[in-house]
Parts: sequence; structure tokens; C-alpha cells
Amino acid sequence: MTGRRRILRAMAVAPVVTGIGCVCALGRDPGEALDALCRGERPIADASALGKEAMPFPVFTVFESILGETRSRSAADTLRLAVVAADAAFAMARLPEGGRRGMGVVMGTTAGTALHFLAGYDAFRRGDPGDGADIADYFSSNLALRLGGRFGLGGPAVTLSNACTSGTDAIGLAADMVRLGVCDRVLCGGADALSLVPHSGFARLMIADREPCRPFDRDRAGLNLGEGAAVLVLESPAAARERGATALGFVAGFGQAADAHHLTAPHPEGRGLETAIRRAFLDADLQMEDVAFVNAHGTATRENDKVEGRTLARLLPGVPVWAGKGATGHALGAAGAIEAALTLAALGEGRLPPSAGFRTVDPEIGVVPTSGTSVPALPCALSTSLGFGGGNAALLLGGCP
Amino acid sequence: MTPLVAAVLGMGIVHGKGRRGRDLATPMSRPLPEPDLGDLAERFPGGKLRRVPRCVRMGLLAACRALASAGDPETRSMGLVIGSAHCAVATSLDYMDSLLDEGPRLSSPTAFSHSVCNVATGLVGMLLDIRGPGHAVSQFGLSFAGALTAAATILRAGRADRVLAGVVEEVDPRFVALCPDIFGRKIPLAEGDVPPPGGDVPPAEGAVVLCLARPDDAPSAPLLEVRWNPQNEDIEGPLLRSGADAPGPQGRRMEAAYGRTPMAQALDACIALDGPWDVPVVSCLHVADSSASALVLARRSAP
Repeated sequence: MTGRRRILRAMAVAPVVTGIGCVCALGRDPGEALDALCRGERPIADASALGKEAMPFPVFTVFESILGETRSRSAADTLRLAVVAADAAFAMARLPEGGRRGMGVVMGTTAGTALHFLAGYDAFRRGDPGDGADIADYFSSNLALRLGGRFGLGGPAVTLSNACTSGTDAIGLAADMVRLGVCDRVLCGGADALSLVPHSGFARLMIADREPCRPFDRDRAGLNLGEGAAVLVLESPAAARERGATALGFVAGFGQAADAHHLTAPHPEGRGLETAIRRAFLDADLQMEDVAFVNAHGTATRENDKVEGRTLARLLPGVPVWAGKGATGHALGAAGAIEAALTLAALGEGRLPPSAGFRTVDPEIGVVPTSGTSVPALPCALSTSLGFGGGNAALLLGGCP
Repeated sequence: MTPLVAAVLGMGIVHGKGRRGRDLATPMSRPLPEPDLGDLAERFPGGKLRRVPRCVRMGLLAACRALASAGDPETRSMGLVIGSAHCAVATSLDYMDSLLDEGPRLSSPTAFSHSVCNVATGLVGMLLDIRGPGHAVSQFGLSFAGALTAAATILRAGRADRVLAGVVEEVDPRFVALCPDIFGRKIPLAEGDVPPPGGDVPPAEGAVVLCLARPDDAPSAPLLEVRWNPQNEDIEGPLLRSGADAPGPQGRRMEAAYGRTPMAQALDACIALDGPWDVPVVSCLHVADSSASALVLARRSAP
């Protein structure tokens, strides 16, 4: 059987993407972001938006540059980004009256569930009652619970906080729920807003770059944080077909595995990542040569890129690798979802963008990421994520050119 | 729709009142004892637990107890899903303390890396060599229902034959003082509820971890089923209720027996599976402040 036939067979039974919302530093929708990527834009900003005390590590912002809104510096920011993306996804999906009833919601985040209410905590420590606004925001911004209520969904609600694999894992778990018939439709994705807490934490762990980041580059020195959200409407093939929905893509396979090795460093041989990738291909019943490209996690940290690059070179030799974080920043719990949305856009529009920030091949890695705009050879791609805690996740996505 | 169901092969409870579901339902004596984590030192000698936060230790001990009661199955291919309302509270506040006291340039990287929400999933997985699929779920009092939802999905999808799933919650006095609206809220009691000694309900910490399997893989094991935003007719048998004071069937509230905690639904499920009942099904309902709710049906013997 040819690769194209295998892909068509996999897509015939895969959960269907009928709505995509994506807001990141490159734009308010995936097409706009893809255009910016192909133009080689890198909208990097200084970190002053996070407070005057922020260390000089650049960031990729959405509130100031894309939305033109003031950030509240609380968990409410993450929920606001998720709502922007969910609104866009629902507008695109055009569900029929009553189509949201019983729908599930699975969202990934880090900032949305973290105790990052610095202002309220500072006031508390000083014995100042303050207004406690950021503490109240924390309690009223849980992504799955709040999106479920806001959009009138009545099905299962799960907020995952799996560090940097959260967005990928949320889409994978949602796809399983659709495939198993737990729900006909699931809203899924990830969201994270920038915050001074992780911005300082990553800098202190010595894995942030003071310059624009350089994924897979020999001279890479760490990540730049970003923010954003991406949300997909996933439907069972039967539900999508029954209402004559337009398919925007497919979640053909998902794989997940833990390194069980170290809290903040990947397994040196990419043990968990290899397992996750192999499981995704098994899940989709596809072969390694069936993917047009890999949208890599590519954080630009020394360890991630070495382990991920070597694993990809070993498992998928010759398959183009695209690393987007040099243009979006690392949006943590939203990253995997944003990358899934951009992968679907790239497959749908037949344009594989360059990898911003890459200049010099690292002989230790052996991966040369995309350097110009090209046309994907097949309508299927792999998106990978690695995270603190030793998590690894891989999604196989099908596009609709 | 396909139900979200899992069979319970083993149960691990870490709580100041004891390690069995029936212990949790007895009247509370004050002060509420802290969980005893002494058993961990024997299982993880030397420096293995150095830098492991207290919340993770509680989850680890509950996981070990769940594995032991399930007959110590092989862990490597297992799944692991740990929920928590607020995740690593102490290390998160430690990191914010270091940020506020020392500034970003001298803030503590160790506190930061141990404050990530999936620190329990990551470290428990490392210490027990669990390499299957894993999730950290965080949605306040509905974290147990979320963890069960993810675990049942993993099992049914065939991604793992066994999943350790549960919740862990720690009490940090800074957090309790910071959130008086949450920790000082009056817990409504109905006739038949256990009255709180001294008139208030103290915060409680601990962990519940269950060793789960697909129902068809363990036909005689008790079952847990999750139903989201249930209707009244979904409730079967006696009702244990926790969370917001909202309309609807009230049932019994057990917080006065085991303490004020966002893992109430998990403790209720343990009481339902191991408590003094002569009925086959007990319903455990949690209603969140957001008005979302989930019902966990504990079927003590497979129908």
C-alpha cells in the first residue's frame, strides 16, 4: 500500500478537525501566523510588559502586540487567550443548534493552574489586605471548567497541566475521547499567558536566552518565552459527516510516554520521545515515511534540541524538520496546541515555513531544520512535545489541502 | 455514549485518620493528625527522597499502598494520572517568597522547578519507574473526577493495562491564611452528617491513589464511573456530597469527619468503596464553584 493510501485510510476513521482558533505572537489566526512565518517575521519584544523587575530575557507577546489589550498579570490572562481562540474555533466550526450539548472540553495550560498571584501574595505578606484581584482570578480561571460553562458544554471537562506537553496531550486525550465514543465532539487545545514567575524561573535555571532564540542551532543558548492559545473543535467522523461539516484536518494518531529519568532534563537517548513517536504511528497505522515533515518542539535549549534532534534524525531520517519557536516563543502549555494549529495550516495551505533563528548546523545533532518556504510532499505531519516531569508526546496530523 | 468506567484493583490512602476508607468516616478528634509518611523512608532509603516535596511524598506513599493492595503489579508500562486542586502549594509559595525577597535574579531555581504542576506525576513516575502515558490534572475539587476521566480513557484506548490515578492535596498555612474565603467557608451540614468537633472543620491534607484496570480485565473488582454535570436521575444509592452549597440533592457531607479538603470527592469514593454500607452502589457528587459538577458512582461489586 502506498503512503498516500495509508494516509487516506487513517484519515477516514480519525477524529475530524472542524474548527481552529489560534492566537500567538504572529497573529490572530493560523493563516495570518503562517503568512508571517513564511515572511520570516520574528516579533520579539523586551520583557517590560511583565513588570519593571523582569530580567532582560526577550519574550513574544500577544496582549500588547496582537490584541492591543492590557494584561491583568493574573490567571485571567490565560483564560482570555483561551476564549479568543475558542470563539474563533466555534465560529469556524459552525455547529448546529444544540451541537455543543454534551460536548467535552480538554485544555492544557501551565500558568492557568499555577499559584502565580505575586501581587496578592506580596500584599498578604506585608499585612496589606489589598484587593486580592489576582488571587480571585486564579480561582475563577480554570480553563476546562470555565470554557465548559461559558460555551454551554455539558460533557467531561479536564484541565491538564503537563508542563510543556500540555497542549499536545490535551488534543491527544480529546481525540481518544472522540474515537472511543465518550463524546461526539470535544473542544481541546492549550493556553498560557506570560507571567513574571516562569520568566524568572527559566532564567534562573539557565535555560533562557538573552538574545532571540536559535532552535537546533550550534550556538543556541536557551528559550524565549511566548504566550498564546490554540483551540480545536474535534468531531467524530460520523458527527461531522452527518451535518455536512467541512473538514479542516484530522488527528490521525497520538503517542505519549514518560522518561522516568529526571524532573527537568530529557532522557539522554530520547527514550520516552522515541516511544511516544512510535506509539503515535502505531495508533494511526501509518509508517515513518508517511509524514511530510515534523513540527519539532525545538525549544533552543542545549539539552532539548540535542535529544530531540538526534531522536528525529534516527527515527525519521531525511524528513524535513520545522522548528517554529524562534518566531512564536515557547508558549509552554499552549505550545503544542499552537504548533498543531500551525501544522494543520501548513498542510492545508501547502506551505512549510522556514525555522526562524537557525543559522549554523550543530554537528552534535545532525538535524538541519527548514530554511526556506517549501511545499509539503504529503498531507500528514508529526508534531512533537517534551516537557518538565519527563513527559513526551507526539501527534500525527492530517491536513486537507 | 461510552461510559467512563474503571475497575479498582487497589487503593492507597494517605490521611491523618488512617489508611482505610472506613477510617475516614469515623468522627474526627481534634487536632486532626498529620499523615504519617514514615513508611517511605524504608522503601526509598538514602538520598532518594532528598528534595522531594511533601506533596509528592504523600502521592508517592499513596501510590505504593495502591500498588501493594493490587498485588504489586509491574509498573514500567503503567499509566499515571495525578490530580490536584492547587498542585505544589508549598514550593510554589517558596518560589514566590524567593522572588519577592531576593528579586528575580536571585530567586530559587530549585523551588521553581519543584513548583511545576506536574511535579508529582514526574517524580512519582521517576521513583516508581512508570513510563506509560501520564497526566497532571488540576481543576480544584473536580481534579479527582478529571483524573478518573483521563485514566478511564487511557485504559479504554488500550494505552495501558493499568493506571495509577488519584489526587494529592497539601495544606500550607500560608495558603490557608491567604484564602480565607475558601478555607473559612461554612460547610453546610444536614441531618445525619457527622458534626464537626469545636464547631469548625479544619483543613486536611493527604492523597488517594487507585490502581485501575479496564472493567473487562477485572470482572469481579469494584468499579468507579464518572458522569459529568449529572441529572438527579443519575444518582444511585446513598449520596455523599462535597463542594459548593448549591441546589439539588444534598445527601451527606463527610468533611466534618475527614476535614476540609478539595480531595473530598476522592475520600468520599474511598468511603463508598470501603465504608459501612450494605448497598451495591454509592454516589459521590462534587459541585464546583463554577457550577460544573461530576458524579462518581462507586459500584462495590460488578453488576
